Amino acid sequence: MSHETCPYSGMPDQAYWKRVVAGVDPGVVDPVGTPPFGLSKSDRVATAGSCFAQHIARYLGNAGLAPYITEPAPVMADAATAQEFQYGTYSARYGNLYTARQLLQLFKRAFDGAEPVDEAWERDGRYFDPYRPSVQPDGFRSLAELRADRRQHLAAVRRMFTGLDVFVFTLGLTESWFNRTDGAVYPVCPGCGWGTFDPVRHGFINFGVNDIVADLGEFLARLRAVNPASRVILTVSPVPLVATAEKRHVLQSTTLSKSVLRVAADMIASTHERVAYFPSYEIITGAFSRGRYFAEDLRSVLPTGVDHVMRTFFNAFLPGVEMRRESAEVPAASPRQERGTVAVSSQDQAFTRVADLICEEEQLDGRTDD
Amino acid sequence: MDRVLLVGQSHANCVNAAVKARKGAGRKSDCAFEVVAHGADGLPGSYVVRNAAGDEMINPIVMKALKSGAAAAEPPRNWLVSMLAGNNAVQIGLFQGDDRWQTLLPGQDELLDDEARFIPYDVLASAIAKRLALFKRFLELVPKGLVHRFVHVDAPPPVRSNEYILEKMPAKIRAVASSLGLGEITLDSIAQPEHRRRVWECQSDVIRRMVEGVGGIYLRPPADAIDADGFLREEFRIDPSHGNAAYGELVLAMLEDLVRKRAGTKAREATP
Repeated sequence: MSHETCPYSGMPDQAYWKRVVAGVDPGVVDPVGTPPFGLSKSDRVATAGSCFAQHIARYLGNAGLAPYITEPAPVMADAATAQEFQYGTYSARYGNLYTARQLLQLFKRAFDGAEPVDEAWERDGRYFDPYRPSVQPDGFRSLAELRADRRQHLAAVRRMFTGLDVFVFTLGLTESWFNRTDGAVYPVCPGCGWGTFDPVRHGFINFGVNDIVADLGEFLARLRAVNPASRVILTVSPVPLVATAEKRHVLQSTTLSKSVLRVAADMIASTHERVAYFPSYEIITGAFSRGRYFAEDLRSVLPTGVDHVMRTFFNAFLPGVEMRRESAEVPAASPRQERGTVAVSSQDQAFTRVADLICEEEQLDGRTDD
Repeated sequence: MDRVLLVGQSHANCVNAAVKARKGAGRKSDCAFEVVAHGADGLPGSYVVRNAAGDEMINPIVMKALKSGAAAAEPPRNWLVSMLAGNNAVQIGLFQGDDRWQTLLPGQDELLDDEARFIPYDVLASAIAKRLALFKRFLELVPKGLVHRFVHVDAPPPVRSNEYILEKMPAKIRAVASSLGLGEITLDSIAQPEHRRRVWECQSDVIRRMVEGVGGIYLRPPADAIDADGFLREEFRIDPSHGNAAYGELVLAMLEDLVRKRAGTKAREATP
């Protein structure tokens, strides 16, 4: 048989599964390739997205990149208070943005000033912001307090989008709940932890590829209008759905959602300047890891998995910048490690999470037996 | 006999002066007031210290006072009165530089300053609570068997006059300003009175919850010492954040009243 004219001949190693996936130590699998741009330590990097995005923000900070925070913790607040109230979790106190629609909505609220009709969720005299219910764990003390905090929060969001150099956005979900009056989307279904579900007012939507591409496209156009030089890194969260509102198995819904997000991210990255796709989804879920980057709940990503993701992130975007590991002392690719396995540290086994991530979506499974 | 043991630092100076004044005047009381500790150096090592084994314990000066007389045929009933932990509101709220901030008390809806950063009340309360960790530990370590009732008398609210604060500012408070990088202190460096009062109210709320959380009695400052807007009246101040002997006398009278009213009541199980 001849391969002289086979188009696959002479391709770089990255094109061959055996050479870069099955035939190498799992710890060195690096599917990033050459990104369209790099980062420097002086870049103002803002982060947002589903709860997996919290890892990215933290690792960048650990490596000495001053996170671009436009809504910092008050000067008198200690670290625990700052964390509890989500100051510094992301660049501003917007909580998790699971969907592209949420991201676009946040941008519009910050720049257009158009507020959704559903202003607050009241419970026992406390007021929760429907668009970031977890940032104030016990709610605001009054509507006046919620409004004052929201006003300055949206100002911080404006400063973030106009001042950032790089925006890293982690796409998390396609399934979402919205207000039928004005279409405003929530980070969590009303009635699941916060608010009250009302089928007349609240509807379910499962965004498709076209929806997400349109939302991201509009977001990018608007971002570039206020910040023409901004660079954007898109990634897809590897964390499966905690629950699905579709009438099908959650595994099917997870596969569909992640596939849709992955396609949308690719369509956007391949058609827009200065937009990169970073494959955190592939690193965590790739067959080479044999599922060992997930904790026992098969959702939470273990520290070794996050380390792997961020190691490749740093290699691609910040070569030469030393990343601080958060997993135990397991080398990147241990020579003692059995070929074809991923080293799971004792720390990983002891802790099912790399950190106390804040994930509103977990409220969707009201059972607490796990 | 009801014995009232007063424990504090700078905020107990006022009661120390009042007790002395009573003695000088030969005034009698149903309560035996004893100022166990007062002043900045009243409790060397702070309220909570570690013993030789490394275990936390309340300051030995307080323990010694609580134990004294315990062996008597008729041991006294100890009312342990704390006047500790009142300075965080000063440290946090007295000064403001370019990064002005503000909060709203529960029930309020009027912001003080359109330009100042807004900090939700719960965020401020959480930050204050973390700063009061040692006081909370003190509350937890108070020996139940030696204390009939635990009482905390809150520090006085702020004075209203910024001019007075600037004029009478002690070196310790100037040091706070210096640590904030404020440079030379002027009237503009001092936060507006209502802001200072709000921070004090937040601190009081945090302290009240801590004290009541261990079954103690929380007392706000004597009402007669406070004006209609919640500030310390001029005639009861000795410096920008402390009460004078007349204020201390009001505190003693308030405690006498409390002891009188509760003398016949049995301490709750939860009392530390």
